[in-house]
Amino acid sequence: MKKILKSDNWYLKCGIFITGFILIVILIGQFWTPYDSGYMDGAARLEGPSFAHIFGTDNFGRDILSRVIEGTGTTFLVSFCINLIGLLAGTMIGAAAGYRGGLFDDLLMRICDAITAFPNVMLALVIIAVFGSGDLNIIWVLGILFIPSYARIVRSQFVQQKSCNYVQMAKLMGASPLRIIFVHILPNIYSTLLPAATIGFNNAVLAEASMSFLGVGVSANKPSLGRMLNEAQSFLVGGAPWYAAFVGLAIVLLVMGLSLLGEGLQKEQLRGKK
Amino acid sequence: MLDVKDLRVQFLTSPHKWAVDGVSFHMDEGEMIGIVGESGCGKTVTAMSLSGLLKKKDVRYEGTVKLDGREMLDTDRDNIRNLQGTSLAVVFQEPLSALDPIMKVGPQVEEAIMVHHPEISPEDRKKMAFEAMENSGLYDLENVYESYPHQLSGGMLQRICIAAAIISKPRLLIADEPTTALDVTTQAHILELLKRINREQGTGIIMISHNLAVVNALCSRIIVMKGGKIVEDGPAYQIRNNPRHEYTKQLIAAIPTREKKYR
Repeated sequence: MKKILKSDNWYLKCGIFITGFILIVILIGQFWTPYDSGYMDGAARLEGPSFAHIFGTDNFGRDILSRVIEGTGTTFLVSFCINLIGLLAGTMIGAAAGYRGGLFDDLLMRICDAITAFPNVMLALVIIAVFGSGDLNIIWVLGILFIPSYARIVRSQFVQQKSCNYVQMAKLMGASPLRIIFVHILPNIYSTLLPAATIGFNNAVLAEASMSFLGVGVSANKPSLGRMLNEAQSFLVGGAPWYAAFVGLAIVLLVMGLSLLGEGLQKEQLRGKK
Repeated sequence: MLDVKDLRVQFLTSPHKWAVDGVSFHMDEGEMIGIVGESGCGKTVTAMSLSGLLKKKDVRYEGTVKLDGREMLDTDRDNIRNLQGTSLAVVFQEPLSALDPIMKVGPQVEEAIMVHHPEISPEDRKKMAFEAMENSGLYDLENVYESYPHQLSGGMLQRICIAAAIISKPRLLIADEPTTALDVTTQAHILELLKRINREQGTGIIMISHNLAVVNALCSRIIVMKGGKIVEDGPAYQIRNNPRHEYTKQLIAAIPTREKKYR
């Protein structure tokens, strides 16, 4: 911790500060929010920011601050799961393809290329249209769509590392391929994977928000940043611009914190290599 | 112990050349053989075929290599893997790159035991590692065991590599230019060490080098290679004092001595 505070890596510092702040708010939001996020106050519809409602109220008279806090939590959790699926499966596929090589490698990578050839959100919409929406479905679908980018990174690293002498040495000691992959190569590419995972998380947040914005995200009774932004757009000109502004701010803050974190980690890694 | 008969190796990327072209030699238990030759003469490819490190999809083999009567070229991966790290070990040229950069050197010395004898307890394994490291001429073992490769010097790293190779008491140790990356003093120490391992543990050592002087100081028998073929094979004193082949004479003439002057 001291090392981070002392370092001149401002990306990393700001990233940790913002992401940390958001995480604390999400954590508090699990136990306490200023109002019940579902409570509708008919007398206070579309009210501007005030002491009673710091972020104002929406068209049903619900407190926007409470809904933003809970919505950030939902978005964060969903993105985390999406990212986790992408990262784990992508690492497995990339490691197998990169270490094995040959036709097997070509086959896996061409499948990944095929998936990446479609715009993520569009492909997700098609799949959701076929299988129906739902919290779990959105996580699975987006998670699978995140696999190729991880698989590619891990594969390229494996191709590079497997010809290194230390891998040959481990082979000569009789180590099995699984042992070489997990014990020797994976720890060595960890520093490349970590920034990639942070940036991937970022994309997952945006993907989840876009899906909710389009109305196929998490179920409607849970507040989610994307869905709130969707609702807010009809009042953007009509009289409650703060609604969209505060929800947008939450998304921007979340994405900015994560991308600063990713950028900072990458810088730290580059410095380590020097 | 080791019987190589008419070994021919061809890389599929250059299908009309034989990298190793009909090499045959026999090695007795505990013998110390030196293979010398210029770059690209096939000495490393020969050694790599012995160790089973070349992939079947990259190369084509002909001939036979038998270690303790077991065929090395035609068996499947699992069989070779069982031999690697038990009967056979290799020490590479560049010790720093031969070790996993983010793993402590201690566990890397134990690798062969960990892979082949998972039933041995961590404490016993550590004891074996300490013994191997001590036999490799390392001291301050506790500290070295906990170090990462970048914290140690080249000579120490090469000793670590040797310790990793001898921990399972292999019958054949292939040293592929083990001293090329080291300075002359360390070089002498490492050569001394290899000689001691050969004498005390009876490990057969194949020493590959482009330096006839190094091999001559160490080995009882020398094989001279050129263009993928063995041009001369005989006791060290004979090669040194009475070379028969023109190429061997040139190699000996290339060893710098005080008397020789540049003309």
